[in-house]
Amino acid sequence: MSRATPGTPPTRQDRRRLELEQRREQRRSAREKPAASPLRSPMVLFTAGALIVGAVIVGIMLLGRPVPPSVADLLPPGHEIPAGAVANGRTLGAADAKVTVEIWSDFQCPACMNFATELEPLTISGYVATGKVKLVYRDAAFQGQRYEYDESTEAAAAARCAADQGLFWQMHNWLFANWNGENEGAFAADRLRAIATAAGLNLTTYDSCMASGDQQTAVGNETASGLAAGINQTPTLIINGAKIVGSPNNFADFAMILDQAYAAAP
Amino acid sequence: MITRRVPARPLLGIHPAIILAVLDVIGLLVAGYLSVVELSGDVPSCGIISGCEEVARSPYNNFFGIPVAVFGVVLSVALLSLALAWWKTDIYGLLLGHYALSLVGVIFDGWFLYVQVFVITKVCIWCVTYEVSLLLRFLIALIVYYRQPKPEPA
Repeated sequence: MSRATPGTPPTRQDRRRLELEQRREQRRSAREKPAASPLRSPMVLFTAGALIVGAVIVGIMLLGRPVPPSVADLLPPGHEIPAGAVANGRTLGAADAKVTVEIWSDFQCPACMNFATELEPLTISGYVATGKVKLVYRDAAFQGQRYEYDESTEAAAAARCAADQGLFWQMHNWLFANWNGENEGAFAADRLRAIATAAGLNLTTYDSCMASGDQQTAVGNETASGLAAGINQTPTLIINGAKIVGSPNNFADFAMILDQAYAAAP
Repeated sequence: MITRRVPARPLLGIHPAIILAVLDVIGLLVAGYLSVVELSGDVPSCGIISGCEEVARSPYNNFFGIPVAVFGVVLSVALLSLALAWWKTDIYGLLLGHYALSLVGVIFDGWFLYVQVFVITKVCIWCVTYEVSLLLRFLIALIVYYRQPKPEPA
């Protein structure tokens, strides 16, 4: 066994021995080098980081998720229906009252809300409860028509569902008390449900009434019939056949109109 | 290791970054449309398929008062930048960045799809289009990662 010395060319045996030594050295260094942990793989680190960031974002969304509105979030109406004002569906007042006021209205319309919360309570206590006037509510649900979820129609349908339970005017008062802009979600489905609860409706009956879609169709039909009759602005009042477009400025003006209609009635 | 340049293995005969970039542009267009419409105070149109309006008007559609579509734009721009940078440089970490960022988006979109189906009970077709594009981007980045030669550790 000879080793190659400087100046002499290495023999085949020398080269073979050198190769074997190199291989042994490689194997030794491979054994000594710690195996790379799969947890230190960039893919694992990137995945873990992404999962943590994603979970944090979803966690923030969960913590900040909106809670369905409850009755406690609603404003109560400023007035009650007086005992002398008898309700029959969407009509309030004595059937034989000499003056009939048809109110073509939209629960989303701000002028209708002003009429309903300011002039209507005084009218009910001063004229309806005394048997002189009866109010008849009509749907002119225009304001939400260009939206897929039509808040005007849905609110009007909710009021009709309340009428089925003998609570139209209570629902009417709660709806207008909780008016909050047009097509801004004031009458989103869950808020309407909270309003229905506040107005004292049986929710199971209310839910099936709203789900059937019949009242929404009825609202649409009445709105269309009003349009055909020239009702294209809300509120429009028809007092014994005489049309008043828009809400009177104040109760004194409105009382004068009612008094004249009462005096002129047979 | 992640800063190493590793030539990409072609997918469908082209650099996979181009496929990711195309999907990023689709996502950007969808999120951009939704953002412009929602920031202008309107609601997106779904055509004959209903549901977009309810989802857009839902309080779940906002994150700190900003429509989620705006975050979709930001995410798509970031992903597009990563895809283009990877295409031009072949830096391995950019592929991983695209993968990880699209995974964050997929997690959020999973939550948002759950909200649409089970909470709002309406599905916005624009949102679903974005969600599908994001899922594809994530899956493609994952497939590309497994096909891609890995850089040797230093």
